[in-house]
Amino acid sequence: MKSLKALNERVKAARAETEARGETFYKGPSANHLAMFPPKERWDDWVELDSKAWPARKERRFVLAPTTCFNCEAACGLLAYVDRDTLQVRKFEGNPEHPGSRGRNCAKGPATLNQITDPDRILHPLKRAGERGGGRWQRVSWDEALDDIAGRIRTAIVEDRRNEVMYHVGRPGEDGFTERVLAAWGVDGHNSHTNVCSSSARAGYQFWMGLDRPSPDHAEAKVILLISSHLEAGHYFNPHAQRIMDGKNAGAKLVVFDVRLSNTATHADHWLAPQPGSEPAILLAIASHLLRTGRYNRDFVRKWWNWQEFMAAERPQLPATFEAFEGELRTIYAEYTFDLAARESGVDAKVIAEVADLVAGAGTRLSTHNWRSAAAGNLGGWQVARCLFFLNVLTGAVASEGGVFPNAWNKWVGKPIYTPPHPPKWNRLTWPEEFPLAMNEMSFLLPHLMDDQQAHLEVYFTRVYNPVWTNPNGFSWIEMFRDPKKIGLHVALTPTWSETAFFADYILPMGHSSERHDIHSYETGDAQWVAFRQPVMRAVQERLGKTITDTRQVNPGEVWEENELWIELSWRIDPDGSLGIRTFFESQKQPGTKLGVDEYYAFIFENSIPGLPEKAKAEGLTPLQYMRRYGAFEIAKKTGPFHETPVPPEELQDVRVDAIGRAYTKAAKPAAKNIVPIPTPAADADGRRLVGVEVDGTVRRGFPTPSGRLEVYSRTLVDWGWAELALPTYIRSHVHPEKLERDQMPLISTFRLPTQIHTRGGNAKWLDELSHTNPLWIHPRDAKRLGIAKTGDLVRVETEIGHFVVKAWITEGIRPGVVACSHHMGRWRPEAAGAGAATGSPHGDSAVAQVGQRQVMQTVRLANQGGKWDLRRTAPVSAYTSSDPDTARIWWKDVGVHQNLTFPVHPDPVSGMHCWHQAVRVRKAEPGDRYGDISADTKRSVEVYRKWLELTRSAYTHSPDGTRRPYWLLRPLKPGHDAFKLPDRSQPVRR
Amino acid sequence: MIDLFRALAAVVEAEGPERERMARLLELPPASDDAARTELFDMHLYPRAAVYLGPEGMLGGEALDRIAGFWRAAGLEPPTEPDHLGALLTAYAALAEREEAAEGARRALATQARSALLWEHLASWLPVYLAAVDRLGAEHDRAWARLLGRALIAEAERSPGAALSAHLVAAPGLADPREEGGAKFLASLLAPARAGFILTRIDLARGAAKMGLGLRQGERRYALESLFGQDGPRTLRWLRDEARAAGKRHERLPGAYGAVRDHWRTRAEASAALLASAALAGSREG
Repeated sequence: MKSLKALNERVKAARAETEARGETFYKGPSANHLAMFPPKERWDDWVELDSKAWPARKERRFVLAPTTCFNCEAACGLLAYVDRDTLQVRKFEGNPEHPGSRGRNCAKGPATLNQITDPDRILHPLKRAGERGGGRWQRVSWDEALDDIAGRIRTAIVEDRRNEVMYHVGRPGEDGFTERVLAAWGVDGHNSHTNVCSSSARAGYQFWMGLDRPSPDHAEAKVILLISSHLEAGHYFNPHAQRIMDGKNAGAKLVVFDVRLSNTATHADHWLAPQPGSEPAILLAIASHLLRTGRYNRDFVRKWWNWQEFMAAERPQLPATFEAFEGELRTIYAEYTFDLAARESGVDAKVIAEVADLVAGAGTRLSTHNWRSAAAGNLGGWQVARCLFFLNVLTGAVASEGGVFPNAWNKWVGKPIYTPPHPPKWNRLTWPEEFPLAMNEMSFLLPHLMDDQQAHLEVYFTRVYNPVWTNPNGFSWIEMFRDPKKIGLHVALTPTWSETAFFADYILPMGHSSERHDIHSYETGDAQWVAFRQPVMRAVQERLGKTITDTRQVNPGEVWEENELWIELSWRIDPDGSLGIRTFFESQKQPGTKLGVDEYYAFIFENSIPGLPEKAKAEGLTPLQYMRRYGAFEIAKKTGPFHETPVPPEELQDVRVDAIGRAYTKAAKPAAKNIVPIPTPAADADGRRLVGVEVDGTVRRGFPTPSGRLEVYSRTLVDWGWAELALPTYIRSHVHPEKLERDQMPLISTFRLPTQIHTRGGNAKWLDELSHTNPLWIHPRDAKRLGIAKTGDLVRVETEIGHFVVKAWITEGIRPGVVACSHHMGRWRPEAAGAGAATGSPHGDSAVAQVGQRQVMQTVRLANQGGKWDLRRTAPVSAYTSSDPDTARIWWKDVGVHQNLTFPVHPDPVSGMHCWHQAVRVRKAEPGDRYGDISADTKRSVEVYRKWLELTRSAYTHSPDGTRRPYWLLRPLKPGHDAFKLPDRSQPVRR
Repeated sequence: MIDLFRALAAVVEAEGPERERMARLLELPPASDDAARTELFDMHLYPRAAVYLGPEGMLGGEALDRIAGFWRAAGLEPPTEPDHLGALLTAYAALAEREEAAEGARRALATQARSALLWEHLASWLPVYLAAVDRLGAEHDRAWARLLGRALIAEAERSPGAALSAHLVAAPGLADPREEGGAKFLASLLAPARAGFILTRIDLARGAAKMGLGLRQGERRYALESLFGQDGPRTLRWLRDEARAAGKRHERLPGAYGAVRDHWRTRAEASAALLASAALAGSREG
């Protein structure tokens, strides 16, 4: 028997030998907690037994290639298992090398497999063959489609109709590529979905800290306060959920505000279900408690708040001391007692007091988060985020371990090969004067703004975006799409059918997550990382020694990826370079030739990602090869309180420090490798740039706000006509009880299900099987009052412009007096579309078997009489035969109700966000009502739009300096200072 | 011994070729087939400390919390299953590495942490557990258990334990069915730290065959309940014999285990006495 020592030496020697080869010796949890992942050195040839061959032990060999999920904005890391024999992706699992998701995924990641093999997906460019929305399609070549589109864009640019080109994006899933394309074209045509999503929360954060996203450090927190169902859904929810659980496991207390007993609420130590919109009242009561009891971080507040600015502007009669400010603050918030909060919210004052004590005890380890939820639902919802972050800035839990970071400090956007200048013109269709403080484009108002401005769009791209379904008032979108005077050419870039694509002129097939390139970096914790989405077959083929020059060579059908598409389209717009566009899409290595994606990404990885070249070299790889192999790279951990960093002497030249401590310098801004968007506060009168703030005698980086500090008092809001909202304030929602009729209730329509994601996951059979319906949550007390006998009974929900018919789900899991209906559901295809298959090319090959996605889209009849629209289901979803045998096993028929069609627009006058909550009447369905019926009046929707427009304070009447918008605020594309000037109203506005 | 412990951990936690590679290095016989291995470690002898140290005899619970607390106190990040034998052995190796690399007071602290892990969370249950694997496992598993047993004894001799593990001190004895009722009695029988012996499904099958009773399919508690239902006194007597046999086995454990050995032996003997008394009372009543 060998001695223990000898055995130990034997293992040790084997370990040394293995590690000398650069391989991992202990591959299990003995060395690595991610025991379930294949060791990375075997990703080229990984062997698994074929589960379908069981009980036979049939081995399958795989190449493992990383990419990132494209279903939600978290973009978690995926590993594609590509069969070496068939060169097909067999499954997707988590990528353990991804610093954000750390190898873990929600259901939507692995379901990418369904999406790439969906038998109903669009594989070839299609052109409308009849009238818009008529359902007839003809397959065309990429060349034909691109030449047509490019010709129209070129003409618009040459004729100085640049604002007639618009690109409307859903969740981008990439950091800035397309913005730069539009900038290269000189077009202010970027239109995001953000004002139906997160711009309200962004406003709340940006008015505080300059940056518009929170980056909570949940894992290190002592108290985690969520105004959302963030453990199960939402931006970055999987990476955040992991860290919330890490925090909980380390003893953190979880507080959840949610009107529903969501899965998140079930994990909470304290679950508060407040009256919708009353959240700020509770938060201010907690803040007031901290102030009253002195349990706030005085030193942090003194150093980092812009209290001097407040005192100078609003309390000039008082001494400009911190103590005087503290006294004023206590006085201002004294009215927010626990009792007031209880009256507004319906939550017991004792519970609020308990939560207040928890918050007070958290110190700088208070991690909070709000993104959509209450912020997205209510008039003044941006104050939800502002009042929530108030707690962080009071406790000093900002950029602290366990606190909340400004997102840009936990994010890295590598500088690309070209950075074109921003466009010269202002687009009023996206940035109208009525909303000068809108955080993002007023995208959901487009049909109304097109009418108001009598506008025409020559080319309108919808990019993996479905406004007909997603936005409120979808019937107005259909009316707009059908009107050729408004939309010259609608190009839908999409991997699959959508309600919007039905009304397009071209449908161009885009890739899913394993079929496209993107680079991104998100604030999933206190770290900085970049991740790389890539066409996995391209990576695999290259590993097998082939050269790929165009992603269509490896993608299914003629599915393309966007970056190559934009490069190609830009060349066709400006083939000879005379417009100055082509230069931004040319190779630097081989001037005069087209820029390729390899060169584009290699440049970023080689020049702008610190540490990556060295790490790659250590493995004998180029930076691009490294990213193609591992898919992600962590640049830094624990970025810390950047605001406290002293500004280096070389940046301090001819410095002027003003009365409130702002330090301005004549030194030029040093070139940065990280080009994450940062606001640009104004320079001083002599042209010095704001470089930091003086704190206790040292110039420190501070925050990118006009004051350089955290702005409890927003001079921007004061200057632009909203002085009464300049401090964190409670605004009563449009669904506050005092604004409702006796028979009305708030409808919560925004909540997500963990296994769906708007319409993007609609062509994933596993997800559809898990979640395909959206009953109306209603409390038993309300059900009884309304005579709704049992779950499943049909009810009619009446909004301001129409109604929908849905099944009731009677549950105590919702606050009494409130109803809720989930997002994602009620997908449909018009009968006309359902009847027509797309015809094949002249060569006889077919395009698609069917128009529409049959796993999740019911067939409906659309009727319109003078703006009074009706939608009625004519055929449910049912089993069908296809190349996927599972489609013959579809057992569900009900795919829910498309409630958003019955919602008018509710633009918040400050943030510009659509306020999603609806005041509705709920009653039993009428005779003749059928499940899924929708009725809405687009003329009435205009009246509601006008009513909300009356709440706005236009730049024309409130701009302090004759500009359209505060220049310092973030904007995806930022035209030059001249374009910010308001046009003379007496002159016609040239688009 | 660092790599020896890591390799022994890898054998119990890894699958397929990885496990075979480690087994070869340790000169163990080829691994048993996957089904037999799954049955042993997933159905009968779960390699998780909380099952053998906790008063519930189940996964998780206070014992798991205590072990996770140890990881944190030692400055190690607790994995998903901090009480998994693979994780514990790895932690032991990590602490040994830390000890080797440190000097002075830090080294003394690392030594203390390693010793605490050994006596609190490893040697407190492994002698009994490994004996069960040796009793029930296939050739490869038995060889692994013996090798780990040798390594553990070597460590125990190198670093003798001062006090009995807090897990064992805290675990109450077998519940008396006459005082605490049948449900608590059954639960305590299936908690090794309380009963003083491990009762697997294989043992129950053997017992049922020996007694001529039917073994119901289902979890152990259900099967045990059924045996009592069929013939309570005989089942009590059989359990008494099991406890006595276990006490004798524990008595033969190496002296290096000291107080741990004595605890398991006395606990098994106390259980045997209680079972005998209950059987006697039952037969009188019957």
